[in-house]
Amino acid sequence: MTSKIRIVSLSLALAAAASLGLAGCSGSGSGASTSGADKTTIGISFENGVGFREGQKRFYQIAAKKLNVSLEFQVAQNDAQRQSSQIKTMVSQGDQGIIILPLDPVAIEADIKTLNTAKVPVTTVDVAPKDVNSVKFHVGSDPLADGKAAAAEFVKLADGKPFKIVEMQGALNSNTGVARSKGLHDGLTGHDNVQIVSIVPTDWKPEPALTGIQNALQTHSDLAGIYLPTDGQIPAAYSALSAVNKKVKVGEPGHVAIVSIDGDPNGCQGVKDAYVDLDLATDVPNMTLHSLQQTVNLVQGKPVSIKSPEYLPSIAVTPSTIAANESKVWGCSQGG
Amino acid sequence: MTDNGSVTTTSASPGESGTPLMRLSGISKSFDGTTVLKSMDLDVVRGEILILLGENGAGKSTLKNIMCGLLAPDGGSIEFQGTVQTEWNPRKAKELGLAAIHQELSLFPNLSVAENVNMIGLGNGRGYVETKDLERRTNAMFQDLLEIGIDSSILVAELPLATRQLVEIVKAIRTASSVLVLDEPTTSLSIQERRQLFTAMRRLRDNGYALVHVTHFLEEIEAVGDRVAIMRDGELVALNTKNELTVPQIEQLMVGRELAAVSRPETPPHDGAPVVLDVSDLGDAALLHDINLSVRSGEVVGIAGLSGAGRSELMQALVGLRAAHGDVKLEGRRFNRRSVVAGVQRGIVLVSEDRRTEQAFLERTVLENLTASMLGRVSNKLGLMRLGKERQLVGELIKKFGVRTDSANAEFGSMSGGNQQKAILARWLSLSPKVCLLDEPTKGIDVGAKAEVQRTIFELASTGVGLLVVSSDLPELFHVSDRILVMKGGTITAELHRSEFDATTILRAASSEKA
Amino acid sequence: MQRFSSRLSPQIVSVLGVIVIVIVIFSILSPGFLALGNVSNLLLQASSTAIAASGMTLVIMAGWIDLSIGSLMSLAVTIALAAAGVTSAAYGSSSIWTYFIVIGVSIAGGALNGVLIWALKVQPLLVTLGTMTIFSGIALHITSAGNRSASGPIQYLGRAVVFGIPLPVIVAVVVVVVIAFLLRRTPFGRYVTAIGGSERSARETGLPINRLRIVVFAISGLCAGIAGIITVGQVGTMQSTFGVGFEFTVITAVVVGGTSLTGGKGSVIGSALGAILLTLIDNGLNRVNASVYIYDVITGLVLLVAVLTDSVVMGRIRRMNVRIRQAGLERSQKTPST
Repeated sequence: MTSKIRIVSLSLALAAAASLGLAGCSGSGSGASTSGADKTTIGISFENGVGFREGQKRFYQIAAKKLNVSLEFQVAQNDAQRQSSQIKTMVSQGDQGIIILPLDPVAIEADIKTLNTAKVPVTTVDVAPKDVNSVKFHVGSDPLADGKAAAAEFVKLADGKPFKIVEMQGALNSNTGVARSKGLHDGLTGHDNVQIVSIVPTDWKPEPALTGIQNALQTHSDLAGIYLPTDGQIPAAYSALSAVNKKVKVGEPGHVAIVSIDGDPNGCQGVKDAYVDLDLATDVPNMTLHSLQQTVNLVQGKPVSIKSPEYLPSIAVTPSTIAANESKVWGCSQGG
Repeated sequence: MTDNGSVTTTSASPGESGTPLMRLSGISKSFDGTTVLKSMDLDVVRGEILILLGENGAGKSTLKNIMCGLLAPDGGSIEFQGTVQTEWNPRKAKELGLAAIHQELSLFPNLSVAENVNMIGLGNGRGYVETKDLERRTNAMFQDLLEIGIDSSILVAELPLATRQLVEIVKAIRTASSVLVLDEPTTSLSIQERRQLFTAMRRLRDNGYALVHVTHFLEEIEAVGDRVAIMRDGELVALNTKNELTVPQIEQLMVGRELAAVSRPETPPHDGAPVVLDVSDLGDAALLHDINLSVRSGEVVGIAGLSGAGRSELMQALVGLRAAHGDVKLEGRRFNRRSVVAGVQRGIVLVSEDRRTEQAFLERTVLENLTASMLGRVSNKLGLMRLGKERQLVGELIKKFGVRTDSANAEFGSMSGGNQQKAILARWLSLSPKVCLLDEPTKGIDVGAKAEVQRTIFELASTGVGLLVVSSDLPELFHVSDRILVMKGGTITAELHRSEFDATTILRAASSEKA
Repeated sequence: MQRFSSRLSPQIVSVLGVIVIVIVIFSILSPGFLALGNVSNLLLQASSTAIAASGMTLVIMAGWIDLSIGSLMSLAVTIALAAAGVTSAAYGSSSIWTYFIVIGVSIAGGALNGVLIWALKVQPLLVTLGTMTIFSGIALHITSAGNRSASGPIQYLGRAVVFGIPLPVIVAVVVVVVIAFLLRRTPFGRYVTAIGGSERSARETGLPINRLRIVVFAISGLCAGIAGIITVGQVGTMQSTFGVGFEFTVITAVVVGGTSLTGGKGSVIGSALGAILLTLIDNGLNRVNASVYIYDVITGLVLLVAVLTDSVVMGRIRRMNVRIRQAGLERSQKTPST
């Protein structure tokens, strides 16, 4: 009856939706992969959704140009199962090497095992699989160290005096988010003068960060610092501070300290404008370059030239050091 | 309504007499290959009440839906006031002053009576709704049309079925200005309410309306009809003025064969037969009180009473659909923690009055509907369905209860109303109950189906089932019952044995001030 | 005895009851919870949800659902920012035209839902599930999942303060009052309520269901668009996650506010209170420094309590009404007929 027509037309609509979505995700990146059939093609099982990933993607493309390889990005849209099937697709398409940004450190082990058995070179980036030795090369940042560095900054700013801070929690389902929080908490143990007045779950989004900071400022008029796990939340912090006339530059009276992580354009600009005390910029250029370089090495049958796993330290920039380090912060370069 | 009628041109200019107001010519319609209407011709004339008769499945409902624009015919044409209507839909019909009372009430339970009645043109020209004014006007409308006092601020959901039907009637009359189609509007009305409706219908006719009255009650031809159209198998088999046909002739035309009179086998239940249902001091917080009754194995006990007397409520209380206190015993054993599930296990089932909406899954198949209450019987020990067995059982049921359907896998809602009722009856009766409660079992079904249902009642009784039958159809009660209990104001006010059956006695017991 | 107006007050009373309990608990745990500053904060934070919930109330009252509002508001703001030349998180600024574009896109997107439901004859749930994916897909395509700066005039609506009251709160009050009036006092609102009561009856009565559906979904889209401008203006940035899951927050607010998911029963004021209740919980948990792990648990519990309270209160009143009605029937039966 008519229900069949309905199902057909609906699936058409959904198919259209899905293809549009995919087109949006692969967007500019996949264009490069179609050129040059004789070039080595590396498949990257990737994730999007936040600006940080777009930065990573851009630097992968820079590295690919440098190493003269083609890239094929697949976006798993936060679905570990989809990631698994996308990896299989990339192998069947003949991608010579695979770089994985694991969504689920445990579940990904099965895929890595399959790739290893099939002798397809595989490396991981950013998020390590549960057994980091299952891949020949892993490169990532060090979220624990980032958290600790943020804590050290607050301890320094407090200078032994009472110091209230509000913490935005990245995401509870993200290793990076959890590790950054743990680093912050570890770094603050033994410094009881620095008090976290509230931990706000944000899922990396700026909207909950805005209300969280608003509430903290409302409850604690003497709030001295804001910890952000991602630079994407910096505008939210500005907004909350402006509303109570506390958006003040570093060093001026009434300044509320902001320590943030990522090094994206918001972070770079924030430090330059001296509203952000410390930004821990992930070393995206080296992370992507090393990741691609070692994968290409494996494809060409060479050994990895960097000891795995490699945890790249972040580049810490402050208003006084940003000028000297600008070139190293990925978000400061044009087009970020 | 007259004040509405005067607005439109239709009633203002009566038109030449003789030309029909609405003319259906060569209307045909089929669903999924099944022909429902075969080239029907019908004229609807101003100032006349046309009674449309036919068995279930004869195509009355389809014809009615085509007249109202709810269905588009496959072939044929619809003329209104001499103009062929190329685009006939509910809005167009409404514009030309046609309104209909549907068998399944087209009311909004979540809105007040006043809002329901005035749904079209709620704002009264303004951009907002004046609730108080609306309610006042609606109250007056009920008084003028049906001489019934009502508080129209009440939500329709809170009204008993009979009152809802009255609301549906007033709602339709308000928007009608030329043609009023009534599809079995009297089924849940009391005698008094019927009389008021007929008075209103005659008044509308005298004001130049054309009325089409679809019914099963042959006596309504005499009461309110001018002309009779009889349909069978999608065709018009007779079109006569009211006194040209006798009742047996009409019945024969409807069914297409002589009706074998169903009569009760002359085996009155022995007084010694075991009591299967025993109720003492049953009552609830709201309506029911001091109810004592018993039913013996093989006995058919009829329950008479006006609407609102608590007959359906009593039935619901007996199976636990309604909270009540007092003792109920089934085959001598107490059944005081009542629920439908427990009832089925203990062998008591209720086939309710509004069985279509309350007990059917209209969008599921006939098969699934039939086995919905006995999945235990068609599944194995592991709880898995034995589909073959299910199909076989359903096939037997369909045959036994004469359910007319294309296949067991047809959508339940696609069957005609009478067949749906037979199917629901089949579902419950196939559970082999010990006590069977039937609430208006033949309401809204045609003579042929009625006889089949009555035969089913006798068959059940002969196998030792005790039956409690609620019916507003007194001849039917006289026909099927061994004993009749009369209810009024939530309790039993009279008990009559077969020899004492008398309509006057029952009506008096049902409506007198003091029992 | 007066009959309870069973359409509005009981639901509002029950959600108000839960709100009072939550306020009392948080006031004990965190003194100053009801301070003027925090109340103003609360209302500000609830305003976007309340605005979108007002539109959603119309949709749900009619027995439909709109899952696309989160994606639609993201798409509307994305298109508007792109039209204003914003190309990254740090570059570009909105203009006054941004408002018109957001409103235009959101009304068009909402109306598209209505048209598709009519043309495809598919349930609103499935159609809006489809458009939800389409809208967010287009938005992702435009931004390549990057962040966008939301500076300039787009911030006025979210950040302005008028006579000491945040502008979003004023906008929310206006939207809630207007839609509540639409729903309760106009023929349009009664039609929507009627459809929710019985779509079949509405068809047989000859209500213009298809046109009404387009209007209702367009209003829902418009409300989502306004909520989007306010939120983006407040935050000052738009991530590609913007709007994700917003539809569920909004539907939750509507349901907690006493509107029946099957349609026909509910109120806009209730939905606004539902939005306030959701905000109260987050705000309170922020203030008492709750563990991040229990936010969802507490929120879920309070919502369950709210929904249960509603059904218990409504059940009581329904029984009471039945009793009153039956008493009335008995009275009327005692007066002899004819």
